[in-house]
Amino acid sequence: MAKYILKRIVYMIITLFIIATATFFLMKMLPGSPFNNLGGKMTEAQEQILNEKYGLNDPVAVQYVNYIVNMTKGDLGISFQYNNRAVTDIILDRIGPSAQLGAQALIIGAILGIILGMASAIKHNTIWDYAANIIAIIGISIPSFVFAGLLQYYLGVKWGLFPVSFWEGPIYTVLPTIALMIFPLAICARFMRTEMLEVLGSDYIELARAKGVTGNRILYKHALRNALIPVITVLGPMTVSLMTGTLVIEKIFAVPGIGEQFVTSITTNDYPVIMGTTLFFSILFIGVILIVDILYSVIDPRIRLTGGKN
Amino acid sequence: MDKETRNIPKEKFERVQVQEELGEQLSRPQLSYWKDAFLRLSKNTGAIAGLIVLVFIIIMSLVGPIMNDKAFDDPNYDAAYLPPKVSGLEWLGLDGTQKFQVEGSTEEDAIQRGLEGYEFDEQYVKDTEVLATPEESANGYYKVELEVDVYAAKGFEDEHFWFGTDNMGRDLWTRIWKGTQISLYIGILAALIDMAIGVLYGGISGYYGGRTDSVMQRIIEVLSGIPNLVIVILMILVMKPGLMAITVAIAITGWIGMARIVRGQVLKLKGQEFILASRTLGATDNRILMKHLIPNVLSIIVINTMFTIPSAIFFESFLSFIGLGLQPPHASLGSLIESAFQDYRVYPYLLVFPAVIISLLMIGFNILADGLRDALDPKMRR
Amino acid sequence: MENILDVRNLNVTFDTYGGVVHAVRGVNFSIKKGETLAIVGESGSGKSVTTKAIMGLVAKPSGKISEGEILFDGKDLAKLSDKQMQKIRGKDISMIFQDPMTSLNPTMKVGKQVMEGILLHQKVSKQEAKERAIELLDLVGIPNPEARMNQYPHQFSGGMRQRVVIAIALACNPKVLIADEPTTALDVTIQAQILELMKEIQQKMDMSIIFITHDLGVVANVADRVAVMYAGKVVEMGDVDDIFYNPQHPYTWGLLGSMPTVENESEKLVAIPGTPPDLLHPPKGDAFAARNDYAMQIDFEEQPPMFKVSDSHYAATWLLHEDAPKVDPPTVIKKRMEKFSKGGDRV
Repeated sequence: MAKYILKRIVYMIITLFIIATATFFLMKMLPGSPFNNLGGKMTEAQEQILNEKYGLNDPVAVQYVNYIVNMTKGDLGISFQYNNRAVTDIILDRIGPSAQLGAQALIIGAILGIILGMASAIKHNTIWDYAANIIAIIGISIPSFVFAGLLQYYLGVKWGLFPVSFWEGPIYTVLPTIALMIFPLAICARFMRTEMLEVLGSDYIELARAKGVTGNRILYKHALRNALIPVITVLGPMTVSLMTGTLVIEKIFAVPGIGEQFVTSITTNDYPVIMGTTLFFSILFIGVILIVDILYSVIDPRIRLTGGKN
Repeated sequence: MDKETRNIPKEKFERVQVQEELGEQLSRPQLSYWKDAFLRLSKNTGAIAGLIVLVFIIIMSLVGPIMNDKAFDDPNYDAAYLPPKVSGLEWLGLDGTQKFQVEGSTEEDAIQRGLEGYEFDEQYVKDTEVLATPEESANGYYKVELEVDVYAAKGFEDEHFWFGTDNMGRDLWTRIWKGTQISLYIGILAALIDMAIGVLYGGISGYYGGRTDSVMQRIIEVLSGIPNLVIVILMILVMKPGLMAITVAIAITGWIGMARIVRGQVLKLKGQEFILASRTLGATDNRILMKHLIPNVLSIIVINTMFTIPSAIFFESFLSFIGLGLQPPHASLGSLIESAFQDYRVYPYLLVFPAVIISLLMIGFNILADGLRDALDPKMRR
Repeated sequence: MENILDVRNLNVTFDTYGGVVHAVRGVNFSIKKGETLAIVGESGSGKSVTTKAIMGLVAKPSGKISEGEILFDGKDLAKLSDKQMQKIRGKDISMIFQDPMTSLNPTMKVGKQVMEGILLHQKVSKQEAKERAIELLDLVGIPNPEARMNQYPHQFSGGMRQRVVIAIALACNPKVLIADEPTTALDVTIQAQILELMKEIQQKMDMSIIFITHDLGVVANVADRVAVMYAGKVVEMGDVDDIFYNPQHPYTWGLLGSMPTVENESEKLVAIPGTPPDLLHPPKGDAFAARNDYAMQIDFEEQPPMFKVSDSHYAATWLLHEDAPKVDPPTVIKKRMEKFSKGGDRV
């Protein structure tokens, strides 16, 4: 087990290193100067001073080594746009709303999805099953920004049930959370339905029935646990959807989070922030995948054995 | 022995010859794999509905732009923000009128402010309605809704813009179908590229196995650790945003899933007896690949490709939405939705039409792909 | 002796997209206390469905018992509600499944799975149930049962798992044990062990066993009586000697003829041509007629009733009708019959 985790962490570091390297060199190839958007014309001399200050005159190799070394210390450089603020600070500053939004969407979405998927499997081939399937296919198909736009227009603008944008209290989180959670909800529902159907058709459920176990007890004591374990594996795709989701949803609802910052940075060529956020997203994603794998082997007794006997 | 059986005529007990094949004939007719799959797909109401919607959208994306004489990139600022108008469908609300909500200290004041703000002459106001008196409204003002015949007000009585016009007076109908064309083009092209790379990579990795396989798998392991989003955004930033950049960026990340599935399937098939049998009969690598492996892997390739198309369409619209997609005057469904966000609160039709079409497109592809999977998946075959 | 279980005219149907499948079509049999009844037949003959019907486990809503009675202990199981059935399942009638690799819950400790049935049906404390479970595991020959209680199924070998499944089935001293091909998925040596174990336990607990199999070797080993099923019907029924040494139905001939034995190794095995009929549209006459070398005109027109061969032996074939021509069974079968009349060794 320990060996397995160690191996995974080594892979994780290699992946991160590749991402950091690729990000760095790609950013170097970007057109446009980072200082174009600062407003006002800059003289050549001024630009030269800034280049010197940010180390942009050093050979690329030196810049690269500096970047990697600083990165390992948690220093992701200094933003070109925000009065020399450290990228790490900017990210930490903005992580709150994004984390809250992501957590709300993930938890509520997953729970609702699991319930929906279960209900759909138990009521297999009934009108409930079809309805749940339609909800799931809509949730998977409709892009989050389209859904967000329709929510914002109908629930916000037209009927005035919820605030349309900004981030000033719990009520403000309602619309963005709904918009963000629809995808996790849909994939959880579909996955749970398939798993549950498979488990309910399995021999050990039949044996439990043959023992005289009652319907509800079969569901909760035998089926649920076995069906829930594999659902952990959708956490990976769900994280990705939350990341893409935060970019557009935060933009639409003017949430001061990392995603909104990232989109702004793209338009202003703020390289250090783009690189920093990219790395941040990568760490998040790789971390979640690692946690999923470890969690899976801890929860499922079958895998616990193959991971190493002790 | 009961009595009834005594009354059976003797000749009934003559021996008859059973034909050899009769036992076989009684079983159900055998269907070829693809025929069987097709039958099953055609019984899937959802998948057929999805297919019909898709065919309709594809036809419209080709025919739509030439159904009227308006160009997608021909701005006419005088015709900006004309609401949808279709002759014959006025009863659906597609009558070229638009409702504006205005506020003022009195009813007249509100109307006056509205006319000034939106620059309309009073004669074109068809109807006014008080939505809220000061007592009812939150801020103590009159809230009035004006219904204006915008076409008449802007001097375009004889024109019909079926989906209305955008902020630059371009025909939304033409732009939407052009945008649909581009979304479809990117989706299908990216899916094909994904398929080619993925099948090749997965096929080689699975077929040759051994060291080749383990090296190729380590590479995939590292690559799959990188979130797609990050690669796509970086690629687009480096290349000039545009059709090619988007397609390449999406294709570069999408093949991994296909490669994994194909490798798994090839590995599984490779160990099976019929491949072994064919090898002992002296079949060459090429023959085994072409005659045995590919046909057996084909169904999962088809299924996976069908799922790639909607995800590529989504990625394109997502990139356009965050400003990394097609550059104006070109439009895709994503960029149309993005620009609609600027003023859809007053002109909701800007958002609604492209939103509905992209949703139908995505749902259509996803349902059809689901149906195909159910129809083609050998595990489901009985 | 009195019958403990009596199945009368049992009919089970399934609604499918293609139409109604008649999986079981008028099955009659009974079983006495302490007796072992083997139900033999090829896959799809309705033997598993019959036992599922007895357990009340026919998959709803598509499947249902459309006609017939299952009399047990003075009650008709076919008419009991789900709730009433739950009190009988696992307590009076229990079941062993075919594949021990999949019939245990992978995420529940083995001990808990054995205890579950005990706690459900008997008013005992957890501690007592645990002791009983250890006792049971010991009874089915699992070494070191206390420690094994806390392990998960994947830590057991196939044979050991089947022993656990048997322990679960025995938990409440059932009167009838249904074993649905309990040895098919096991290695030959393990098969023999499990069969021995079942016989031993049957004697100890004096229960009746319904043994489903397509392996005639196993039948000869365990059964007192045999029912041969074909296309949802019992076509021949009798004591094990009747079936093995005086078979009357051409289908039974086919089954026996296709089984290799030490004696007939010089003979050519007889294969039954063709495939079983589609039960979506069962044929009008004898379902076996189309594959029957001895078929007569009547076989295609009317279903044969059960003709009596002896007090213990019945067969549903028109060949037993008094007007039917005398036919010669295949050589392999004739040899068996001769041996029987001479009182030779079994099988």
